[in-house]
Amino acid sequence: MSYGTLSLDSITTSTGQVIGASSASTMKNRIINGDMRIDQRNAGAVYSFGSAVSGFSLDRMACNNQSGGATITVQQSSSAPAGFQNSLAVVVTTGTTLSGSSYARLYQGFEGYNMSDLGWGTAAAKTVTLSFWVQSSIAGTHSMILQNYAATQAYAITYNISTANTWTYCTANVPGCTTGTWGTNNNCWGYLSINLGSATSQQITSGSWTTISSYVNGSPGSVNLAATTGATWNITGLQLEVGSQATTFDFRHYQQELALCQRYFQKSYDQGTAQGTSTWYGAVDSYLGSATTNPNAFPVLFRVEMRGAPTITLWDATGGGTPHIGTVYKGAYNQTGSALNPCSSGFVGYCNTSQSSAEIGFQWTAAAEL
Amino acid sequence: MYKLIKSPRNEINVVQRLSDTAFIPFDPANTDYQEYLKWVAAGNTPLPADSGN
Repeated sequence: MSYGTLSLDSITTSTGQVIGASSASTMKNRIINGDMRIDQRNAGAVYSFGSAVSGFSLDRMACNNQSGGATITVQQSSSAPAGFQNSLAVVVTTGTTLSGSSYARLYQGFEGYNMSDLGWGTAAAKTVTLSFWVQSSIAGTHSMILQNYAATQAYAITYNISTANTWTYCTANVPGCTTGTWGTNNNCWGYLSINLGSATSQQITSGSWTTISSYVNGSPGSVNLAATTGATWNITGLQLEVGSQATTFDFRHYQQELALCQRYFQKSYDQGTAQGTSTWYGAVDSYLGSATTNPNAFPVLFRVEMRGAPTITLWDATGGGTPHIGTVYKGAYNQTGSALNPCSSGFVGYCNTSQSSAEIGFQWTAAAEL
Repeated sequence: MYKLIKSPRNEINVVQRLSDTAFIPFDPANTDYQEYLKWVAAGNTPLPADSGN
């Protein structure tokens, strides 16, 4: 039996969704690590953000805690709605009153290369739809912000959790922004900022594009999670797609998702091993001869091309949770080293040592985040 | 505080952030480099590179 060929430009679903063109591509979801599977830095361990601390937790998910007193932990969690294996879990271990210009947010930056087809900043700007699964110990109206890197345009989104501690599916449309500058290359296009708490000075009204002069963080009346000690909040299935209809989550192959993350952060350690772990597995490692040698150069090629020249941290392979400058000889002699010529494809680890008959090496991490 | 890093070819294209020992490339697209430039613009000066390498 032979089969014919069905050739269609698009498919219109029973809900009116047109699948084709951009929405059927392999990059339907512009969020990277939206199902919170990848946690290269911490390998599932808790990351604590004290007051005035910012940094990355799960891959592509940053936290900036400028709450003026709250302590927030972020961790990969196995709590998830059906079909998902992980979520990003937030716990407010110490709450504080949000006042003045204080705020706490999670955020993901978008690279211009991956967003320029939206045409934002032009009359042809396309509508996007945000969808996600969320649960929180505090029911009520919560908020997020889409804003450009130039911090001139922002749109507040609200979502409602009607029942505490219950996974809730939320969607929101955002009309394309026809003004402002939105990146089109390897620089930052803009941010999705998830409000964990914000003073009124950090808020804008939801439902329309607002001209701003600095980044904003929430919407009036929305829940300030960071104000409540013991508050919890989880998210997964986070998706941003072109069009006005939320569609099913765009599950990608694990290796594909990992490679997308590695454009912004990668490491020498095995996946599943947190940075700073005492291990030689994955380390750049060499044995020096019996003759006393001096300069030693260790070329490192990245797993995938990075967004730009990354910031390099060299880690002591013999252990210790704190970054270590340079290389190590069998744990006995700490040698001063450096990372030279970082670029999007690699760098050179360099150590000028007079050691001989020595094992010398290091672990590394590379970050080119937005 | 930052410290300039010199390569064996006497090139300086990396600065080290002493708070966490990270090596930051002179790449305008690097967010850590952008923070370094703000720090310099605020009137600060990095430590000089070591004379030899």
